[in-house]
Amino acid sequence: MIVAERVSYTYTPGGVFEKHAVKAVQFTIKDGTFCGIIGHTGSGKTTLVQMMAGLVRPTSGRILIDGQDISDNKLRFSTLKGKVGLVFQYPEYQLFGETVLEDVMFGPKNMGLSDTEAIDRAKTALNDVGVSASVWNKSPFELSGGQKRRVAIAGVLALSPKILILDEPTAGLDPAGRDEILEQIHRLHERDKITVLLISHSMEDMARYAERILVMDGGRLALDGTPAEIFSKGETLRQMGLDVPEITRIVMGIRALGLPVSEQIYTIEAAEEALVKLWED
Amino acid sequence: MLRDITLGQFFPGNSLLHRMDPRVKILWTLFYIILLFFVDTYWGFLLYGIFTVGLIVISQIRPRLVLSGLRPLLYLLIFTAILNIFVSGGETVLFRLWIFRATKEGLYNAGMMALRLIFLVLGSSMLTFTTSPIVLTDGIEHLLRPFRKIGLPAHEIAMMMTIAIRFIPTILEETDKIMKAQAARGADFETGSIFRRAKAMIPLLIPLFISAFRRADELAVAMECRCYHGGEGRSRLHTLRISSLDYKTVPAALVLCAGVVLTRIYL
Repeated sequence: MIVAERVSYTYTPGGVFEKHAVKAVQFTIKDGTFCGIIGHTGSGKTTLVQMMAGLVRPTSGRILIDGQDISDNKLRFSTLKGKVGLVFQYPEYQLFGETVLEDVMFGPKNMGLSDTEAIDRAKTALNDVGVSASVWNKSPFELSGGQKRRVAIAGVLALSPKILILDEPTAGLDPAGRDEILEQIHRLHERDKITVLLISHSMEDMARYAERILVMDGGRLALDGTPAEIFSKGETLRQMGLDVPEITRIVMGIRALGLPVSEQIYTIEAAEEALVKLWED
Repeated sequence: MLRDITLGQFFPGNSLLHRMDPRVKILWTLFYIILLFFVDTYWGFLLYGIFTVGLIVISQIRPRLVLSGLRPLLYLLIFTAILNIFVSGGETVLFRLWIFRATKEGLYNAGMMALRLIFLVLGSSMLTFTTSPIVLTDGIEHLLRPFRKIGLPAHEIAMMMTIAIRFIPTILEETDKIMKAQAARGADFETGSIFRRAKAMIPLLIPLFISAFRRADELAVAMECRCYHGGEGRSRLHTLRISSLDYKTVPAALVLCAGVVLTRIYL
């Protein structure tokens, strides 16, 4: 369980460039939730998740993971034991290993696992993200952009985190690559019951995967609820530079024509079902 | 993690020193440094002191900041001073330490040398404090222009310096990001023996180098796309112009020069 208690973060406090990135954010996320985080650029999403991974210490407030205060004292990786895995934006830029396998083994080895255990973990992680065994002994720099991204995500998955945080994992990928990566993450979430926090700018992805959505605006937690609750507030979202999924706007258009379809439609599948039903009636 | 590193040491402002033409400032700094080596009396250094304090006051930069620039010099100062006290030779022995003799002449020389170093740093830091790195390289390019006749690539050197300065914050940001990303995978950059820590740098340095090369490549392509082909026939957005302000600095420099000459002759 992740608990954030009035968490704030200020860059260069007291200085000329003082900037309140996160302001008194408060929430509780239960284990096994697939939670989306949306917000305009600069709304404090990235700073928030970095604090959750213990990489940045909150200026005030605290974050508890399974009751343990991770903002307390100087955080050591060993205290978290890879409980939280954070995949950064464009994670492929952190690859450094001579081979794909070696790079993915970096995390498990830092956890103090033996070579054989680390190799096992790495292989499982690479299989989970769909990197075929034929490239495991290649240099990660020879791979395509999408493959590199998968290897980098595997590098975090190899820690077997209970909580997986992904900061825009599909940015800059082609549509097929995006869908595949998100599907694989979703499958992991279902299979291992891990908590997933996904930052994304795609409302469609949020509608499809998230059970709960946190909306950040100007460093504050503006909205917090299920996708249905969040997307029913289209006007508020638009004011924050966000929007509802495209399909919802189409359905709204159909409603405006006077046809009786539900206004709570957020995925293409739901829209299809509703329209087929409308046709049959 | 790396945010506290200050670089370039430029403090924006609008003082007389800030508004001077960079070429004039560079030349006067050189003049200030060369003249410093002609000073051979403490009266001369007093003159230099007054002049330098005047510069600091005009620049409107807090004196504490200027003095903090001397801190890295501390050990060098102590070292040269001690060396000078003991090895200068001379007759009047002050005290003996094992086989070394501290002489009055040595003490005199040590004081001279220390002051010379201090003024050297203060004078040249007034240049970097009041001139932005970009303007400074611009000035350097102009001043190196005459040497193009003997094959010196003045524009290319200045462009390289500009690009290097431009990318310092970017690379720092990148370093910070990669450090965090590797820390999220359990990398530890702070504990362990020197050997261990050096090894821990590998996951940081490899991605950093790769991204630096990638950036260099992208920048080269972007510059070529905009038809950059070196300094030949290139016009500039900000042309440097010597203003009346710059001419007014001539008397100040002449007064300093005359003062130093007088101290050499009469004292």
